[in-house]
Amino acid sequence: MTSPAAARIPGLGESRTLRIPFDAASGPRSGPLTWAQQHMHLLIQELGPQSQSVNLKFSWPLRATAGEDEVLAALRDTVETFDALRTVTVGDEQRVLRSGELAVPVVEAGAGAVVATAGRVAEAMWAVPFDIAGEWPLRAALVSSGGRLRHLVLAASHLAIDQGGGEWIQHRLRGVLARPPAPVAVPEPVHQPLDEAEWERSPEGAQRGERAIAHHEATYQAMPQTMLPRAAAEVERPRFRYLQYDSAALALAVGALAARHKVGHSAVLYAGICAIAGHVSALDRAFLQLTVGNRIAPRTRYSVGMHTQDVPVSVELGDASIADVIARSGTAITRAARFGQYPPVTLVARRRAIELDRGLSFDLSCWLNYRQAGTRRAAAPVGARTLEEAASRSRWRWIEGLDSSTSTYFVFADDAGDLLRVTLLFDSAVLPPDEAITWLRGVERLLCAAVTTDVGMSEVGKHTDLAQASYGADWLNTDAGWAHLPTVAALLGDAAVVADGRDIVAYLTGEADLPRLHAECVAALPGLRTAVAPTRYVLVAEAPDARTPGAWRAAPVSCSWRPGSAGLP
Amino acid sequence: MTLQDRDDLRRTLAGMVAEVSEGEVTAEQVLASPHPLAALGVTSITQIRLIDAVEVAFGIDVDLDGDLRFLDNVDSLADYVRARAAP
Repeated sequence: MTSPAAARIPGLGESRTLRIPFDAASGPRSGPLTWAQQHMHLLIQELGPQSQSVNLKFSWPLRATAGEDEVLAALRDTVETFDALRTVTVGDEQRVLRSGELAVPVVEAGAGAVVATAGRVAEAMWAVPFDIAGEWPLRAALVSSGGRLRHLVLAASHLAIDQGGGEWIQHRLRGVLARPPAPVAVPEPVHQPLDEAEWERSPEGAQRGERAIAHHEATYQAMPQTMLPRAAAEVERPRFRYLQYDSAALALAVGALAARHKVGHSAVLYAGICAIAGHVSALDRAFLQLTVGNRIAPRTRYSVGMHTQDVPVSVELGDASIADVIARSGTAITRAARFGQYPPVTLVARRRAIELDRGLSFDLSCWLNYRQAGTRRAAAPVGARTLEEAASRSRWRWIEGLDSSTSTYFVFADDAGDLLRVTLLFDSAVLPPDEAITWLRGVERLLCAAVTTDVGMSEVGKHTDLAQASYGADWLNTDAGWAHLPTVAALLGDAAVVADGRDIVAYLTGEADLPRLHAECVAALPGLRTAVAPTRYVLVAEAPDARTPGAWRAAPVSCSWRPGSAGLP
Repeated sequence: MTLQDRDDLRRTLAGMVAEVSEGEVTAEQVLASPHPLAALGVTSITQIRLIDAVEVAFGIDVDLDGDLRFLDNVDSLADYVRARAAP
C-alpha cells in the first residue's frame, strides 16, 4: 500500500515526493476495533463522505541541522513503531499491516513564507477525508526553503489516533524537531490498539465497561432532550460556522475559580457553558457531551492510538449559584471521566431503550473538548479591574465553515495558561451567529463576575445580556424538557394533546395500539427539538362534545398507558 | 492486598496518593496535612488514578454515584476502604 491521497490533495500532487519504505518488526495482525475506534467509526459513518471535520493535523518546525535522511529515518521509525500508523479499517475490523511505503511530498516555500506554507499544506492535507480501508491513516509532507527542510506537517485519521497520540508521535520525532518536547521515559513495550481491544474483552475490561454503561444510563435518565428546544431556520451556506474567541480574561477567571472550588479547569468552563445554555433555554438541568481522553490508566497513557470517547455529563441548575454549578460540575466530570471508556454500541442500544421509555430523542450534538495547550500557572488572586481590563482585549474572528457536521455547538477550548482560545463550531440554523458571539462573551462575563461576586442562576441574564426564551401558552416544560404541544399533536394524527402538570397526555378514541403509536412518535423525534412524545396515552370510548382539555380529562376512560410501565392493563 | 490496621492502611493509602500524583505530593505530606487532598495539589485526574489503584489493591468497586467526600482525605478514604473490603 502507498499513500494514494497525496496525489488527490490539491496543491501537493505536483510536488517532489520522497518515499519512505518501511517494514515493521511485527504484523500483519488483525482484530476488532477498540471501543474508542468503534465510537469514531460510528461518527465517521454518520458524517458520510465528508468526514474531514474529524481529521487531525500537526505542524512542527524541524531542527536547522536535521538532514533529509535523518528526517525520513525518524518518520520510518515512527511508522514502524506504532501499529496505529500502519492500520486500515475494513468493516468492523482493524488490520495492522507490516510493510509498505509512505509518500512524502516536499513543498518549496519562498523566503519568509515557511510557516504560512506549512499552514496551507496542513489545511490541504486535513481537508481531504481519509479512505479508512485503502489509505495509510497518516499523511506527511515536508516544507523546504533555502535548500533545507524546515517544517514537518502531518494529517491523521482520527480513527487511528487522537490528540494525545499526536503528542506521543511528536515525542518520538523529537530528535529532528526544532522545539522538541521534554523527554519522557516511555515504558516498553509500546501499548498498541490491538492490545487495548484485548483488554476490553478481558473480564476486567468487560466489568469496567458495564459499570460505565450503568453510570451513563443514570445520566440519560435525568437529562432533558435538548439544550436548544427551538426549530431550525433556513440559512445560507455554509450552515456550520467556526467562531474563534481568544480571551485572557476567561483564562484568568477559569484559573481562579478552579483553584477556589478545587475542580479542574474543564469543570469551570463546562459550568459556564451549561449555565448559559440552561438560562437561555429556561431549563433547570443542562448537559454537554464531554470528550474524555481516557489516558488515565498507565497502559493507555503513552499510547499512540485512539482512546478518546464522548460521554454525557449532566448538571442540575435549579436554585443554584454559579459556585454551586461549578462544584457540581467538578463532581460530575470526575465521574464521567472515570467512565470515559465504554462499549459504544451497547450504550447506543441502552440509550434507545431509555429514549423509548422517556418518550424523547436526545439531541447529543452539544460538546465540550477542553485541551490544556500550555503550562498551567498557579492561580493568583485576581480582581474585578484586572478581569475587566483583560476582557477588553478579548478578540473573536470567523473561520471558514462547513456544510456538514453533527454538532449544534462544539466548544473546543485550548487553554494556553494565560490565554483561553475557544473555538466554537455551531449550527447557524439553530444558533444564529450573533447569538453565538453573545454566548461566548456571556461565558466570559459570567465566569469573570463569579470570581468577584456571588452570582445566582437567576442573575445570568443580568450579567450576560442574554435573554431567556419566552415560551408561549402552547408550550409545556415536561420532565423531558420543553415541548410545543401542537407539534406533539401533529406527530400523533388524530389525538388530542393535553397538559396535565408536567405530563403530556394524548387522548384517542376508538382502538389503538398504544405502544406502537408511542414508538412511532419517538421514531419521528430525531432532529425535531420542539416536541417530545406524550407521557401518557388515554383511550376514550367517545370524543367529548367540547374538545377542551377539561372535557377530555372528564371523558370515560377505556384504557390508559404510560410508556415505561409494564404494559397495558 | 489484605486489610491492615487503620494506621497501616492510612500509610498504604498515603503511599498510593504519592505514587499516582507523580511527585506532586509525598506520603509524608498526605499523612501530616490537616487539609483536604485537593488543597495539597491532588487533581481530579489524580483522584481517578487513586480510585483505580484502590480498586485494584483492595478488590473493591468504588461507588462514584454517591457522595464523593470520602476522597477528601486519607482518613475518610481509609474508613471507606475498611467498610467495603473483605476482612
